Amino acid sequence: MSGGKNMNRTKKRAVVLLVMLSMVLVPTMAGRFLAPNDPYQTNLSQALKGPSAVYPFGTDNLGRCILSRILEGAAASIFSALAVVAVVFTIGTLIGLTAGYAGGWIDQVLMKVTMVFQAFPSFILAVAVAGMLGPGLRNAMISLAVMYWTTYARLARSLVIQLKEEAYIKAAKMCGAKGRHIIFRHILPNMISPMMITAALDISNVTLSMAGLSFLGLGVQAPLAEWGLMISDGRPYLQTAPWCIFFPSLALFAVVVLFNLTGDCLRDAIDARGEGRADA
Amino acid sequence: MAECILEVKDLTKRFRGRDKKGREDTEEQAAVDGVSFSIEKGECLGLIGESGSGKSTTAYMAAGLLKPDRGECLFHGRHMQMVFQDPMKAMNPRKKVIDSISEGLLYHRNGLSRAQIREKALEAMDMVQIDRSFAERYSRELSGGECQRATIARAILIRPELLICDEVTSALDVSVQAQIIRLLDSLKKRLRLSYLFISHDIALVSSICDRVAVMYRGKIVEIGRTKDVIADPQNEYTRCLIDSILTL
Repeated sequence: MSGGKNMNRTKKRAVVLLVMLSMVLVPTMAGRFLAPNDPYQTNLSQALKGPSAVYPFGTDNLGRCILSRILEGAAASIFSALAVVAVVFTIGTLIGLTAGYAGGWIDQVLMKVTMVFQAFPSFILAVAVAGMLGPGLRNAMISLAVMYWTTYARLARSLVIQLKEEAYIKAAKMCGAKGRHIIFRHILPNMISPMMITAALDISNVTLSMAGLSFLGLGVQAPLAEWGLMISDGRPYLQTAPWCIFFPSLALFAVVVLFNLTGDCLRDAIDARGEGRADA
Repeated sequence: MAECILEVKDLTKRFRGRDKKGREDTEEQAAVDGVSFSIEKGECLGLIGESGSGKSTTAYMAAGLLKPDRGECLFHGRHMQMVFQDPMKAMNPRKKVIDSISEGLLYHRNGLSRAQIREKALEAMDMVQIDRSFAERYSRELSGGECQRATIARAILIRPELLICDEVTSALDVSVQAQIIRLLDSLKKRLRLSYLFISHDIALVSSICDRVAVMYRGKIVEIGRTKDVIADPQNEYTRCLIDSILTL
């Protein structure tokens, strides 16, 4: 097989990325135990101090430890993004599957609804929904779900429509397969790979959007730690205390890049097996 | 006259074409137009014609996969099965070969256990002469011929009386085509199968079919015993079709 060498390279890359990802994820999961200081302890005498032994990443305008706040905020930044992706993946797949499999007027109605959601610039829509629901982590997650589900519904629908015509589905019908057999045995397993690739690549987008909402004041509220919020809070001190912005941005950057690279790697791995061709 | 296994009466299917702007055409195209034929038990009927003549549409309607606009198909048996053109596409790429073959018994088990179904599937693999070691592989790891044998194994698993073969050899190498035809011919005798054998290759059809029907633009233009049709074609189009092989 000519793909053998590439496959090995992909595998090595996957291992390296997973190690790096776990190096980021594990400390953030254990954030509050690893944090050198209390992330919510204000100390005005120590405000805006540069990196030191006690405060490795420096302190913010209220004298809180930035490293501790980054570790504390990771949960809000990363795990909320993972949760949003999981939710939109499920909802989008269900809606797309229903539309694509049923066809006819059900398809028409569901796709018109999807189009209405897609008619707005996506982040503006999220900002509008978050604004209506009011600030807070849960509402920010809902607004991001509203923004992201359409991609999955459309992708799932196009995959189902394409798979529905496959000869092995006809063969299954000849064997007496009912709708549920066809969906669970044949359609879902074959559409999951391309959907997973999209989801993996979307994690970083959602993380960024979540930070964006918090930056605008629509997501996580002070004094809770969240990276976008920390970047926003650090803005007035960009000239005098750049670490207030630099370290949360670096954390966000590292996580986004890592998730993107992992998503790419996943896509390559699935493509090499010849299953990821159904991009839509 | 012997007993009929399949009677097709006045079968018609129209498809709406689309004009250049993508609007649905007001004029419907009849893909299949008033087709009637019958297949006797143990008989092999060939259905030949060029691409777009409505052979496959007829096959899908006979198999019940497509609803006819007019006419009916009467099947006087318990099971019918179908074998498709491209064997690679007829196997779910995410299932092991044995699971694909078992499918026929999966949905109406008649009280069979999983192990019994598996054993029957393995027996079916023996009948189509593919090694049992292929059972745990995926279809992409098989050659075209092996894969087509596996789809035939799936089709014969529930012991159908009628097998509809839709261009079963056209995706295969020439050397493999002959093997598949020989296999189908031996299965016909062993399992007392009837065939509706669709092909554009009159030479291939003549080697296995008792009778042959020639389709042109959705209609059957000629039907008769294979050797009669080939020796003395009555229809202009049939003559064209036969001449085209002889000149090759």
